[in-house]
Amino acid sequence: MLKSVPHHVAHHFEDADQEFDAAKIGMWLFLAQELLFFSALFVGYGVFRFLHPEMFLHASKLLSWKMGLVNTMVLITSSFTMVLAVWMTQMNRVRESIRLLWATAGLAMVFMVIKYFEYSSKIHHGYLPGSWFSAADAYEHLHLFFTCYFLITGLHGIHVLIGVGLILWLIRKSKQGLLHKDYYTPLEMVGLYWHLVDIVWIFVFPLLYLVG
Amino acid sequence: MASSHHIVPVKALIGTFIALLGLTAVTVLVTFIDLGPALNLVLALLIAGIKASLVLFVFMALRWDSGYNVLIVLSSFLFIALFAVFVIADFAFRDSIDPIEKQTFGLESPVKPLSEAHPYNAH
Amino acid sequence: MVHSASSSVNFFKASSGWRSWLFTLDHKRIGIMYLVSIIIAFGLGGLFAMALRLELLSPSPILFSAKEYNQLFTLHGAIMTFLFIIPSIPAALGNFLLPIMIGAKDFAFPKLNLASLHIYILGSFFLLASLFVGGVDTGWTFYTPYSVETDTSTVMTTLGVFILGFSSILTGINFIVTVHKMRVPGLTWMRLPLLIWALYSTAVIQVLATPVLAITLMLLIVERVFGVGIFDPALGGDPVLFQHFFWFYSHPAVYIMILPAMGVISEIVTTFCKKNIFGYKIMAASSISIAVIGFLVWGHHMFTSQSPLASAIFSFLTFFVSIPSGIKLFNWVATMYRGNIDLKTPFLYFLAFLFLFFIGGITGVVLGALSLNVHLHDTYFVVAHFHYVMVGGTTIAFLGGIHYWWPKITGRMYSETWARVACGLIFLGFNMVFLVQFFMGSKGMPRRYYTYLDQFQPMHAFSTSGTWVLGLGFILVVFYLIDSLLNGEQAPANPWGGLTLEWRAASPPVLENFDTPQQVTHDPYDYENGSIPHA
Repeated sequence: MLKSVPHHVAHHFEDADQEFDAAKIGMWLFLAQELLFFSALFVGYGVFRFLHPEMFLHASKLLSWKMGLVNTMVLITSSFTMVLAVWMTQMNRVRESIRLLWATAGLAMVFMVIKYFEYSSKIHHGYLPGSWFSAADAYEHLHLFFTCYFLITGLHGIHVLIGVGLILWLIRKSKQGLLHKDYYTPLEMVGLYWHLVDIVWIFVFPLLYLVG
Repeated sequence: MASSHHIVPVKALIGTFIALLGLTAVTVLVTFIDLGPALNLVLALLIAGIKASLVLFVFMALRWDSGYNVLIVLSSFLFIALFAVFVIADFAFRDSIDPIEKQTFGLESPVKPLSEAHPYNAH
Repeated sequence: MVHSASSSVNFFKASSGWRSWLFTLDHKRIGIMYLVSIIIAFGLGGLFAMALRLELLSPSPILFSAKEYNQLFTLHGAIMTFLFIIPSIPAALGNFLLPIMIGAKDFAFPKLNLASLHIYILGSFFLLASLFVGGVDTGWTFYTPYSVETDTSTVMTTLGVFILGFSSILTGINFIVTVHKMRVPGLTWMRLPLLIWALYSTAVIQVLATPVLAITLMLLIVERVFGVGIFDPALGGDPVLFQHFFWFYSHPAVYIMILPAMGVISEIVTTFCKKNIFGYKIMAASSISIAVIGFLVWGHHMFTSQSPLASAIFSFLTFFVSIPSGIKLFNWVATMYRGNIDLKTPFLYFLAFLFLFFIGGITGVVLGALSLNVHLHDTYFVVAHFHYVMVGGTTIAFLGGIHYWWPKITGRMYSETWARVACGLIFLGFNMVFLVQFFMGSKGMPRRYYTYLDQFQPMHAFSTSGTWVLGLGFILVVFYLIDSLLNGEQAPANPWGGLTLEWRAASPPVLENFDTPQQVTHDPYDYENGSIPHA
């Protein structure tokens, strides 16, 4: 059994509840900020899709919806393992929680590996926008779709990688016995972040891979 | 304000997980039925919206959380919607009032529709 | 983290050495470091302003080439906006005062607070570094397509602003959480001082709007470095899209700049009239509604570039945002009625604010009218309008706030006589610079021009001469405030007879703000029932 280390409330708080609630409001505000951060990319997508509807229809077919589907499943499953990891810690089953965290990080890496194969195939076909863009049979302004594709999935991918880093940090903290049923704020906060990454992908999948 | 240490029942978590996978399958299937691009898009966004709400309210436990946190999330989605609607509406109506102004007042708008200003842009 | 047993030491003396400042978690020290940074930024931005006004003394070249002139006004705008006005009241005064005014020991997240200061410093290095690698000449708005084509260092500058954005977001998150969770017993929402309401509304905008600026500037950098074509019509993109993205942040950002100023003004007017604010609830509600409506009017910066329908809608919505501002103005005037007015320096700044913000606000309504805007768009009328709001409103309120809380922050009094003289000079100089610009603008003088028709020269020369009076006023402020630090007499805990919580603390406050736990039993400005601390 892992030994639990009691948590000390920071000096400027009255009690642990106040500390926890503060952390939670702060996290939700941060997530709202993240949503707005992504929003401009989606609005840009909307504008370009409005301006070039046929091109988007065509371009979407150049992406592999199967890969997108697999990645969606992977990410949803990782969200599920994450929420279970929180639940296990709430039940004070820290060892199971650590295993679930490893599973979450593993699934995230599977997501990134699939992403890597997707990216390299797109780059190979000359779909990388800017001076690299060389798709010969391209629809007019095809690069705009791929600009949206690379920017949105790229920014999302960075968030996934940051998430993996945070999950590894949680595993370390859990092993040290710092997270247990009386104190699991970092775990819950990273969980919220990880679900947000999932939510963004839930919108990315139909908008990029399943246009028509 | 009540402290928000709520433990979500595991059954709800499993149910949500299955629902998310199911809805993902539905999104893919719907794409193969051609309802016209507009309706397909609306349907895709609707399903994505339901999935996102499931994640928000169950996985992220917003259903049991304080009203203020719900307000934060709702207002950010609201502002994103306003952002998108106004910007896309601007692009949609670039050339719509010009004819009225021309007919009624003989005025020319200083704004040219994108396709007119940049003829190479039109397909 | 320092757990000080003897908390009754004042925070200046609690520890020493540069590390104790640069890595402090004390919100008061962080506030003071912000204050010093933004005053340096203000000095720098002011110098650029003096230089570019000097160039405009005559239509023919004097000191600078046209390109250098473009760089001057760009840097003036970028520095004043991103390094001075946006962080001025929230990050400097707000950081110092917000926890004290709600009776807390510190912010909810002291480390985040320190991080936001460090990010601010990092961002300003990037922004200022662009000075040495070719400057930037796009105007502070970085409009495409020019910002993509120019040979100056747009990337360095926008990267700086991108970084500064995160500082602003972190401050905002901290403010909201702190107001929610850290209030002392008895301090209900309807008993919050109006400065706190204003800072809270500001924080909402900071959190919800700033990320859009960050992503917009990132897109601009991507566009410039990789040429992906999102803002380039030749490649199927659209430059007006950039304007939409930019103003979706930057219009609400205007309220980031003015809302805290309105809060400061409410504090000053009640204390120096010894009277409850007129219409407390509507004052609080108007702050929140300005923040919300402020998100719906960004298109009024684009009347000449977007679709006529969008312009009509945005013009209509713009009038709504003037309602809560108007309510505030009336309520300040009504607060003075039958008040026990004490004409100290902060109150003089309040009067200056009232006058200048009225002009700035009412010309804003003029510009919000679509038909007039098309005529006045991009003229000196617009320049004069936003300077009346940003300088006449925010900077004057910032100065008023500095004078009001100076004894609390430093524990020293300043020379009342010199402060009044400086206030007069600043008021006079400011009006000399900008009042004529309304006339020039309505006669068609375009903004950002290096040269102009001869008929404008007398007015340009008069405007330039005003900058010298204004500059003298600011220098005077610096002098007597430094003198106050060195030779000023010890300030009492409550020199003005204020009723809000910060006047219960010592001057300067002790390490964790109060020696004893505080409790609130009355409304913030209830001079009839509340007892004035240390009176």
